[in-house]
Amino acid sequence: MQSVMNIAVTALAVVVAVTALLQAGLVFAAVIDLRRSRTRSRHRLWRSAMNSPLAPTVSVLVPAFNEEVTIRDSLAGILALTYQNLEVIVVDDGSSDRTEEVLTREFDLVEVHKVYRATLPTEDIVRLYRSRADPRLVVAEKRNGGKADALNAAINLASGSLICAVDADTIINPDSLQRLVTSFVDDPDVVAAGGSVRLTNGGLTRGPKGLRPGFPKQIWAACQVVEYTRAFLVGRLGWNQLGGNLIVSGAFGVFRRDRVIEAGGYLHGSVGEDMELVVRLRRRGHETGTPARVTFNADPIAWTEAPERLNELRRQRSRWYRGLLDVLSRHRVMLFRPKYGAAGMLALPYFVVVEAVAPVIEALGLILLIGGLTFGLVSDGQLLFVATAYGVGLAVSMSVLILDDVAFGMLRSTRSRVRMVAVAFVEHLVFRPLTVWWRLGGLRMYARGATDWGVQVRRGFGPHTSPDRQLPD
Amino acid sequence: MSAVFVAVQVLVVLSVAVFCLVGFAMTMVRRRRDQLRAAAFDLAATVVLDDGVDAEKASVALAGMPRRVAAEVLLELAADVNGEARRRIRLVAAQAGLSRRIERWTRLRRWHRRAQAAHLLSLLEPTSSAWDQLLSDRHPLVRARAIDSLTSDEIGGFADRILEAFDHDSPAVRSAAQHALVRGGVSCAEPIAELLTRLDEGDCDPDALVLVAEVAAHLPDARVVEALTSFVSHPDPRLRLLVATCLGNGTFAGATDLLAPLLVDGDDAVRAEAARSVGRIGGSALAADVGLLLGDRSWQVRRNAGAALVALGPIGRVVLRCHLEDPDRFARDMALHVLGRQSRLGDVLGDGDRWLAA
Repeated sequence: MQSVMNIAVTALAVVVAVTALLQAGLVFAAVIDLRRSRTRSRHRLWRSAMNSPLAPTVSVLVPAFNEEVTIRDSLAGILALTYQNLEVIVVDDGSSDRTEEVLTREFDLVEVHKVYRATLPTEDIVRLYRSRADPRLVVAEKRNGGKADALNAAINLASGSLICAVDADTIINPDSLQRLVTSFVDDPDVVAAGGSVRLTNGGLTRGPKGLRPGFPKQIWAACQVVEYTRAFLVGRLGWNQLGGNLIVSGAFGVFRRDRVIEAGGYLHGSVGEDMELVVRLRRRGHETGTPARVTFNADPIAWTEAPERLNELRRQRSRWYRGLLDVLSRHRVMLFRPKYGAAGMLALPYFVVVEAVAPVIEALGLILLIGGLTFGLVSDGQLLFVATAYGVGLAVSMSVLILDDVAFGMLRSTRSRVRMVAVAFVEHLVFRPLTVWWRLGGLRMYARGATDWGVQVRRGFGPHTSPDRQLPD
Repeated sequence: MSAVFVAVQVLVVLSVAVFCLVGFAMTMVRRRRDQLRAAAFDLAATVVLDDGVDAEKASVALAGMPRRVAAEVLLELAADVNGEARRRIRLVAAQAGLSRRIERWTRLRRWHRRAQAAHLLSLLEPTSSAWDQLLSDRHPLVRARAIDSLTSDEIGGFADRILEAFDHDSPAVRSAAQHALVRGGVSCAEPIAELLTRLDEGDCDPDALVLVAEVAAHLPDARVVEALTSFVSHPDPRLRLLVATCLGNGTFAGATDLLAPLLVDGDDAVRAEAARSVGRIGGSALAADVGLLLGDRSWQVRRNAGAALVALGPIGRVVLRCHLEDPDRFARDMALHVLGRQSRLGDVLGDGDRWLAA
């Protein structure tokens, strides 16, 4: 029994420490990328150039399923974007709530003829509407087929050369789209570009330099602020520098439409459809010899609401984990193949080790550790080893928060910084073990072949976020 | 192990301390900068509005502010004003020592300093040698930045220099040039028309020609339209497409005559765009020709033809009704679709022709 405990505790500490050290390496890469990209992006021409009629048309795709609470604010925010050539396509994916009613009432929809080219196979579109209040808005009422199906239907309806996938509960900063589109104008090899996603759970206020988040009062939401910051700065920016970006967030990402159609659109039956598409685009690019760069730009920001209830969080994390396993399984052929460049040699192996395998070992190690502590089977030295490993992880989290504060300055007061430090401890010592536990549940569901999404209860963005109403100047 | 543990705990405590200290320092710096910015804006507004003695005082006070803040505020205002107000802003920039600094930056080796100078170019007199230097800078982002910094009333004076940028390898420079020329509008019409004529006569890079034509298609000027329409039978379909776009942007004499051959063009995109343009200019004379496109092999052409016939009004509706009996199934379907939804569609089309634009 003692030897099992020794192995389990050692494995737990090694996994936590290795994960933290790999992330420390990515933080270093993120610092380099941030420094370089910020100098360049400061001198990019996104402001005046993107207001020109020659700017590429962007079709913003908004799949909506039971989004009656958030859809109005979210669409008002999208239609208020300072981008000239814009069209917005909302696909109501067979909602059972009042999503359609809200859309019709708020945007004065009128039915138009249902003529479109079904380039990608999808469930039937029942009706097609255009808004009289803003003719850039198209709404499709479709039979339920899942998020990937709704996105494919929106791609069929889109006319822009670029498509921007946005979740119906997302608010985009007014200039974010311009900043992302610049990546495509400057580099014809870019096929997908993603921006930062931050949380609105603490509310949003408009400051002199754009929207500012409030500090979430709810502890799990606050923990997710730390987690999202680490994920976007380390997971995306770090990989940007190494050329191994594999994720463009489903909440806010821009793609070249022709390349997405060539690749077959979003994959039906996948719960991690955003990552799957990006990996497929990269894989296809390597296989056909057509460059397919995926970039991440930390400046364009989109805001979204994170689940606050543990049950919703559990479902979400389980789904993300199943999505990851699904993508890794589908594209396992890329692993350790030099033909696939940094994606095959670095990024995918990292995802396998750190994101897929390590959480399982960590979860099992934690269970055994708790059991060992209960029965007095863990020595002081072993405990010290585990505490050291978690300490390294905490130091990495803190370095990410420093980087975020220096680069983006989202925290406006010393008080919120002190709270953030406290939350970072809770996130590392309580929230993270919970997420690895939820991933075990995800693994079980994946083994059973479950592909359901679960339900998140929307609270709306609150009174401060409606772009045309209450935002204080 | 305990030594490592202690070291790690010290690292954690240190990182927490650094986070709090750096954050506190940054909050103070930002707060101070925001206050300075607000004060600088008030002063700059007084200068621009020229309230006599107050303006002079404000000008001196602004010149005494930190250069970075003054530059930021003056630049923001310079983008929105011209004439005498612009002259006064440039004067303050010179008093604050900004002009001298910008000119010095243009000679530096570090590209981002030169890019910064290019960004502040509007604060310099157009006679300054810095304009010439930056508009032909070796670094693409500096050159693009310089072109982008030109305001719409300054672009006409540098149109020839901007047109040279179309030969540049960097997409950033080329797109900056395109956007600047469109912003310049009619003031750039003559050099663009001349360039198009020149390119039409001689051998040239087809991609460069398309870039110029894309700009031309968005300039509502008779000289440009005349030059562009000479490409109506050019072998490159991209150019014919731009001719079709251009003809739909306004009512030009002979537009319908020029659109007629484009409606039967061999390229799908050209026919679709021509149909759309007929709808946009209300070219009723071509209603029957557009009607024939309802049975086109390309879905996009059929869709645009249907929408164009709706936009043509009663004549278009007559043509659509005729095609309800068309032996071609696609033509019949499209006519049926468009007529079936027409009353509702009309509401949307009534709001400009943005539906067609989409």
